[in-house]
Amino acid sequence: MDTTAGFWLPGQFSTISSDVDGLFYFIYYCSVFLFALVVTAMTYFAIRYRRRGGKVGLTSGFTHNTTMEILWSVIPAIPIVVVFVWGSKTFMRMHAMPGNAVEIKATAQKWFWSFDYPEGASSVNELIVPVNKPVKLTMSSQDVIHSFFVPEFRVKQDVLPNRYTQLWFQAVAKGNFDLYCAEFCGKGHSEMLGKVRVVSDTEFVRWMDEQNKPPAGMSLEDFGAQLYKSKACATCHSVNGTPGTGPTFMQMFGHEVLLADGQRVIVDENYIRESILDPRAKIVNGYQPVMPTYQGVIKDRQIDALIAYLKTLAK
Amino acid sequence: MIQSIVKRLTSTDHVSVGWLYAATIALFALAGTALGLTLVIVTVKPTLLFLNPAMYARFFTLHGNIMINLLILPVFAGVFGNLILPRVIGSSRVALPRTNLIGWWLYLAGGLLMLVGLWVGVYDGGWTLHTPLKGMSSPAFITLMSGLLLLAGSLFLASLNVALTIYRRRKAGTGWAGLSLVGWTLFLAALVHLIIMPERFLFLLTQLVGHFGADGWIKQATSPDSQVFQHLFWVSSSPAVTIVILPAIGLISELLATFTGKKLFARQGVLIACCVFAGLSLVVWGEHLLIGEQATRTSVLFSFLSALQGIPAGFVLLAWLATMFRGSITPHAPFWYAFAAVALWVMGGLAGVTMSIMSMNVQLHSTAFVVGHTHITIAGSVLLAIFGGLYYWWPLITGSMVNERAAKVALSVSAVGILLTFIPYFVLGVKGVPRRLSVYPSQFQPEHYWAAAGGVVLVCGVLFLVWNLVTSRKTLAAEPVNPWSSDAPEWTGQTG
Ligand code: HEC
Ligand SMILES: [Cu+2]
Repeated sequence: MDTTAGFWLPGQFSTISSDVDGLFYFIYYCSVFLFALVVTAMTYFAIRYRRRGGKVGLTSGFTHNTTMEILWSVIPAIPIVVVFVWGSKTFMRMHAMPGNAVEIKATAQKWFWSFDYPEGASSVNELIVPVNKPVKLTMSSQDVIHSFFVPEFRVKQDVLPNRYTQLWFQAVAKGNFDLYCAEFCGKGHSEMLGKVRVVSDTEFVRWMDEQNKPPAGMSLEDFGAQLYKSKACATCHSVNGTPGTGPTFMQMFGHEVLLADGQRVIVDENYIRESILDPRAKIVNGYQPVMPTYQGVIKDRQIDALIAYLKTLAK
Repeated sequence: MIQSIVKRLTSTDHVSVGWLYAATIALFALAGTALGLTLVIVTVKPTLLFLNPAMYARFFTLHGNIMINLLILPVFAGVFGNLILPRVIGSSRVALPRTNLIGWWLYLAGGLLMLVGLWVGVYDGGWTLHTPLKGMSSPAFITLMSGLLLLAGSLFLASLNVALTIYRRRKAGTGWAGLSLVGWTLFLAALVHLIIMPERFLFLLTQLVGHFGADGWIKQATSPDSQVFQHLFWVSSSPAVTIVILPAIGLISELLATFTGKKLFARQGVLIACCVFAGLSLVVWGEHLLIGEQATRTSVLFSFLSALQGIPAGFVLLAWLATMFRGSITPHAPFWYAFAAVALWVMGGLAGVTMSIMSMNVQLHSTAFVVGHTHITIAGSVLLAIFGGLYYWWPLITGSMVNERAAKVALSVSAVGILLTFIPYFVLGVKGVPRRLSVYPSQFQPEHYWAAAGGVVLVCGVLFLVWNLVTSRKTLAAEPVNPWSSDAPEWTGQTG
């Protein structure tokens, strides 16, 4: 793996880089050779066969030769097929999503990137990934088409509104790399510049943990109120008493609920914890079991915060 | 005075229409060139020398739309189809004189509407249009779309005229086999436009309808989903821009054959190659969507078809070389235009094949490399082929001889300008710099510096070139009969 930037391509910092570069330089040197050959031949002909005196007339009737023409069509086809197959193989590799990858959600909008990690961490314009581990991005756009492009990793993928696209890479060295938006997306396009920060595995885990604690100086209740919105509880649960897709959180804590199986339970800390991590365990009467599980998405400390917040709503 | 202007603007004489096209295209192209030059100059500084990013985006949007929709798409059917084609096929008129004139009017009206729409709408989505089209005021949007619609209609009518003229009005006795390669390639390009323009027309129409469509099926059917939008756009736009190299092949072949005193080598093979190329151009649009949401299998197919284009292109190149081989070369100015056009054709073509390879496309798509490829091919090879053709036929259509020495100097300056301007974009692209950046990391300044210097040289070269053509009229008294000693029928007087 060559991590120094050449005159042409930038340094190689992902497992796919050397594949891409090998083919690039192959095509590049062939092209330079061909170009030089053609220009030399033409120049030579122009000098060598320049008309000197005499009258113009058609020179030899050599204007057609079937064997030669067939050869001309077949011979160039060979290198074309070779590079096509080579390039397609690498492309397939780029598109075969590894099963054991760290999964991150990327969202593009005019004009910044945001990333959501497992266990609830998130970041803006800076993608933090562990070194030597496959990372898989599931991406979507909030407005127009954007395109995720990290030259050093040799990966690029359009990010579309109303659809998901995926991309994976495995960084091979720690460091900071430029993240561009490659699809023109309006006047702020050039400023849609992010960074990819590749860190060690332990640093990555530590960073994600830190993201799960309430920001310095924020009370647990306020943190819970924030999570209520950022974890999208708000889309199904109101806090003002109106029932939505799910029951309202108002006056919930400490009160009795009727479950679908006829049982009655008191809403306490454990009940809430279970509702968040395993919503199907107990279904509230009159509601559909549509709540997603937050297992692996929400950290203990965040559940604490949510419970603290729900308690304030019951006063 | 006014009467004579009105007469000019309403004359169905194809020569008159040809000059109308030439004059209007030249004016629009001048504006497009000024915009292009501004684009390379402002980026000598990583944060724009002048203009703000929004204005920069508007400038490249105008530049791209002008150069593509108002210059390279109409120039062959409009200028060559009227001024040169009838002579070449030995006809005293075109097949559809009135349609031909209407085509020009649509061109003028469409061009102006498009420009007004782009400007008033503060539109910044490039020539590929913003997807989905959002945030434009309704009046501006209608103006832009009607402009583009009229242009599609204009191109359809002009192509219809060219195709029918070649089909019906060839000199008695000239079969398809006797048709010169210029005629053949103009015919093929016109055919491709006839095939794709209806789609483009409908696509633009759905955008327009979708903009106003009430709820219900119209809205559903026209909703600008980003992927559907891109497919519908590229289905016609991809062939439209690739096909401009066909008439360029015709021109280059004609010039090389004439000035080497030979017939084009493997004429029939070249014709087949052109047909294959035209056919392929219709089915490779998905090449523009490899990094979109397209299924991998589909992408593989598109990439393969796209790479195949290298085969007919390579065939034509070898035929040119064989034509020069053992020729009797009289290196008049137009010969050198063809010479330079071939060299740039090779460079642009190899870059094109590179991009059609999937893993390369991932790295190069949407980067400055694309800018390098399109400009070396079109603003390089095709442009020089066009000027070579104009220089070649200028004595025939104006009756005055061009200053050859000046023509060669202008060519050298232009060629240096082309290389200096666009090679840096190849370098930038491979290094991973996206296209259309108004602000870029400062380590990429040297390349932008070269491009700006090249831009100035290129513009000087092209202006000199045009000036030399235009002033040739005054410098010569006697009418040249066959200055190039060509044996083509339009020169030897075998045609009417
Ligand atoms: C997709 C909609 C949806 C989202 C998002 C959602 N829930 Fe629910 N939730 C429901 C539904 C429906 C029920 C009732 C059925 C059941 O018990 O599973 C429910 C039940 C609950 C209950 C039990 C309520 C009661 O009255 O006993 C709790 C506690 C709860 N959700 C907490 C949360 C928290 C905390 C979040 C955010 C982290 C959240 N929910 C996000 C739909 C949702
Ligand atoms: Cu963007």
